[in-house]
Amino acid sequence: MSAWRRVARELRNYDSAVLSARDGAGYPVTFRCLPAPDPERGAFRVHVADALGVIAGPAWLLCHFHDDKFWSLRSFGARGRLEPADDGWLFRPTAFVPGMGGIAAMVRMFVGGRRRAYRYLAVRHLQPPDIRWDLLNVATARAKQHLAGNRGDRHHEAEAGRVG
Amino acid sequence: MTTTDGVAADFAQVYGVPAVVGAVVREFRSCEFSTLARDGTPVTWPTLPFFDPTNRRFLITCSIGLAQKAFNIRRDGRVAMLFSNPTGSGLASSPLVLIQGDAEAPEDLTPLAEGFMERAQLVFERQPVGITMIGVMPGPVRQLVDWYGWRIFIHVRPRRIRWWSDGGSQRSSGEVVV
Repeated sequence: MSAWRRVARELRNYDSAVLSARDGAGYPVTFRCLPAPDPERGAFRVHVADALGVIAGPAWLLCHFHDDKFWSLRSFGARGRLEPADDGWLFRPTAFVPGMGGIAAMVRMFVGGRRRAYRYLAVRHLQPPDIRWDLLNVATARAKQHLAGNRGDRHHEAEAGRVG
Repeated sequence: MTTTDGVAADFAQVYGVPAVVGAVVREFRSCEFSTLARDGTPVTWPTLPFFDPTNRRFLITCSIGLAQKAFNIRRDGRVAMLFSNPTGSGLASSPLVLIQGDAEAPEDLTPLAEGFMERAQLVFERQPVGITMIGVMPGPVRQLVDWYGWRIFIHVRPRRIRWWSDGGSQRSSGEVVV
């Protein structure tokens, strides 16, 4: 399946996308957009505000989602090029890059991540740092307490509202 | 950095931007963080930024097993952070904020930095599933996922801050060049 087709299929699962290109000073410039599929040109039409100072060249498309609890994470990326056209700008994807979402992505991240982490240590002759599980346990306990407190506050406010 | 009443300054005070811009930086759960790949492509993924008012910079961390953004920064420190997803922040009709800056990603693994507990607690409050995961994870499994906690500390110093009240379709509502 072509990168364009893969991106077009995944885009349907998101309200909007984030596009990154570069400005005249070489810095990344990232902005929200609504990519419109243009199958004939194998690209997506995007609106790029002139004031952003974006130049044509390598570009990246990102779609991502998280819920109110910062979970249910899903995402994908696409490498490509941003090109000027007679009718505006085109993002032309050249490679689809899977992101978060689903069991396969989770397994890929944890298996590959562990392998790469040990390689990082070996190449630099570093020892694995200790993970302070004791501190993390304290942080989770405090967070739990804080969240319970907030829930209690909201409950009291709701009760007060009913009475008042 | 603190204000005259001893309260820690926030992004808005440090950089002289409107309070609503500071609120976005403080409350958004993630930003879209762009680094430059070897071929010059700006590669962007969502990440969690923490603003450090004392040092006037952001802290972003990544595991050494997921270190591509750090590798990119070591080659080219030019980065961008877009705050465009308000989900979970509790903010309504917030502006879109784009920060371009210069980043550093040290080679060595930084020992636990000041503010670790506060940051960890904030992450767990915003992502409560982490509380459950830590709680139910038996010792042997913890050893399998310890690599995720071996972090590189990336620091981003803002150079140019822009914000849009209309979603970014036109000229920015404001700009600060540092």
